Amino acid sequence: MKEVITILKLQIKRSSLRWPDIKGKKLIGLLLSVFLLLGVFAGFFIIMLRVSTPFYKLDLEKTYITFVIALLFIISLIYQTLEILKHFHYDKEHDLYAKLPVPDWKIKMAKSLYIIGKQLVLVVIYFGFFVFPFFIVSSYEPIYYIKLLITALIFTPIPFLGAVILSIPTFFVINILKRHVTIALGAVVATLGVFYYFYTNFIEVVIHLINNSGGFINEEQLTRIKESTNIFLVSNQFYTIISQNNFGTFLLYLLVAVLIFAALAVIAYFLLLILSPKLRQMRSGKQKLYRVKKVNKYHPVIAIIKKELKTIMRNSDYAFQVIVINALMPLFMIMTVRVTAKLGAESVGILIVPGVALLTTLIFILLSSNFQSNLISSEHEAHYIGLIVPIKYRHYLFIRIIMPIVLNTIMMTVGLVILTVTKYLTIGQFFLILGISFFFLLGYSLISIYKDYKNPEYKQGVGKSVNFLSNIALGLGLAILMGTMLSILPFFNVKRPGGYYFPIEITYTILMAMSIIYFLTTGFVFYRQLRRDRV
Amino acid sequence: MLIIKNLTKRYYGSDVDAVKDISLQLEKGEIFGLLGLNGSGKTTTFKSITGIHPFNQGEIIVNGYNLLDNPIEAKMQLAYIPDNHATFEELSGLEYINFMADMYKVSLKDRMERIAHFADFLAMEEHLNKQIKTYSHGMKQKIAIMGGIIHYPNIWILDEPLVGLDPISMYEIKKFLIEYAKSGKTVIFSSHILGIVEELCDRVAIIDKGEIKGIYDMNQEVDLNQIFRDLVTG
Repeated sequence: MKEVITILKLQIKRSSLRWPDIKGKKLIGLLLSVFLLLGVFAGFFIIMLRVSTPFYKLDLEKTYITFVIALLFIISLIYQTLEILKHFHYDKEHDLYAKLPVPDWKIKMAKSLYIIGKQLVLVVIYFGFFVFPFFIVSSYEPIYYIKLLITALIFTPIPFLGAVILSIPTFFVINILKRHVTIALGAVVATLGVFYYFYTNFIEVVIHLINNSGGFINEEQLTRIKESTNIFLVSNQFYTIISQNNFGTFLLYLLVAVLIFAALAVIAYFLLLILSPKLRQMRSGKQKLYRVKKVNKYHPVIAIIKKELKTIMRNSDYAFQVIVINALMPLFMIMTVRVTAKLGAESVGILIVPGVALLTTLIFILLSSNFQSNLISSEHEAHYIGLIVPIKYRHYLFIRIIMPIVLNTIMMTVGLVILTVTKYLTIGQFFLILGISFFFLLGYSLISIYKDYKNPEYKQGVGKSVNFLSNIALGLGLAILMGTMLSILPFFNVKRPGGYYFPIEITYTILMAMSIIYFLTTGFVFYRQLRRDRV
Repeated sequence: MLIIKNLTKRYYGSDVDAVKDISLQLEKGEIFGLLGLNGSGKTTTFKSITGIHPFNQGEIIVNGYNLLDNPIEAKMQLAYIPDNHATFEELSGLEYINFMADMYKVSLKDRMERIAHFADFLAMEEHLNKQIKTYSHGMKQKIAIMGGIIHYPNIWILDEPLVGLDPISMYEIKKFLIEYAKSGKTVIFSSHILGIVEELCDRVAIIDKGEIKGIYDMNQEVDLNQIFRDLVTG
């Protein structure tokens, strides 16, 4: 057991976030990111408070809890399947562990405990966001929620066993998709698109529920809502356990559950023990060959573009950020604007819509361009090639950065055109928002690549790099400021006696100026650095 | 061919020079070795010569072109193979070589001939269409060499070139280095292994703590082992 604990400790140490070498501007960037994250969490928490209130008022407590637990199971199932694939079937560190004088079953035991441990943390965080707001708005005793949390933690082996089984077909599907990148990308685009479509429709229903919780829902509708969660069998069993008023009966139920789930965990573990070595042997599958039909000569610019395209298409992380997010950008923009504009228009008026459209566009620019923060460092040790080849390094970087900008501009324009055709925006607003967004995109791309040039973080992934966090924090801050300005200031475009008057032309002029200044400042700083380094 | 005058490089935030006042002159047809312990400044010197690292002081003239004033022309004369043999791993071997050939504007005829020649003597024909990330350590080293010298540079710089290669490839590359220098090109490489340096080099410089401690003609009777130990430890 000592060896299992040692390996478990090693896994925890290796996966925990390391406090990087942070000083000066990096510290400011990190603090900004922390504040931003706290802001996002606080915003989400407030939304959940509003969402959970009507469930309590309409006596839909069982529906809410059953739904939240069902969602937790789905999230856990997906999360644990990915974890099993990563730590067992596609384990990159297998050789490292195989060398250790420790039996294989102990290594797998430590890894299984590690995955279950992470799942327990996930449950607690999830409860903080979905159950804690309900606790605040309702008047149930705290013991009720403690029972809820204990039961949720004990239920963990169910998704674990499910994930072990689900990981087998997923493994084979991934093996096929790895050799057919286009199909893989298409599948991801379609899945995310459908998910986002249903998600925004769900949000619309919730908004409808919030707006009508004052008594506009009749008995028949209430019954339908209550019956809608009957399909969640496990969640209903879960609810049966926590709704036992007698604490002794609750403990008895819990004891039975513990025994059943312990047995499930053991089955899952033995399944992994048998399956994972067999699957790992099959993981590489047939090696893909990239046959060059004819060796051609290209101009260096074309050669760099071709190299970039191949790198993007063959690297799943890159492909997801560049291809998938950009392909989905128009759909995401339209669905988000549709929901938020409806909500905003209902509560304050139609004048808010251009502001919502601008904010949405800028946020999706941040999402689809965030890989630029690691454009240089993503080449890792091979970045030296750009410096030794006989082409100016600044030109080399320019060619690399221009492609995603072009793609981003096209997709952003498509999204805004559809918003204009569907009458969310006028033609004038379309051109103004497009212009503001375009300069914002240039500014964001330049600051991202500048920071990566100055302080490359070769060993950090995109999501963990300080450059990325500080860029996104500043970019989001600016996007929220500009979006808020265009959401509020149009309401002051009317001359009223004794009221403030702020012409809409000035609002757009200020926003355009902010965006251009952002671009020019970042462009100047980057260019000055390149000139100074004579590259 | 390659002239280095008073090269000094200090890394940002450091209070010591990684390379201090180095001056060297390398001739055509010469194989020059740079010998030193880990962290002695060999790689920093190479990275400064090739334009990867900006340097604080000094001048580098590559085949008549000043690296700072005419960087593109100077880089056209050079090839650099790093010790980590890093390449663009998403590409196949052939795609990578072709990319490098495009960057150095190698004609179609020359690149075809050279790819066939290199692939033959490095036994890489079967692997050229596979992604580089699937290669073994030695194969990555070979593909880095093939891509690096596809333009037949006048000066070929190699950092620890023979580490990780199988005995046959090691023999072939040593032979190729000698033939390359005989054709009037200059080869400069670093190594920890005294035997290889003694076998291949015409001249050797010993570098320690960023400074050149001495330059030795290998055509004369030299006990490199003793000199190296005396200079570095004494």
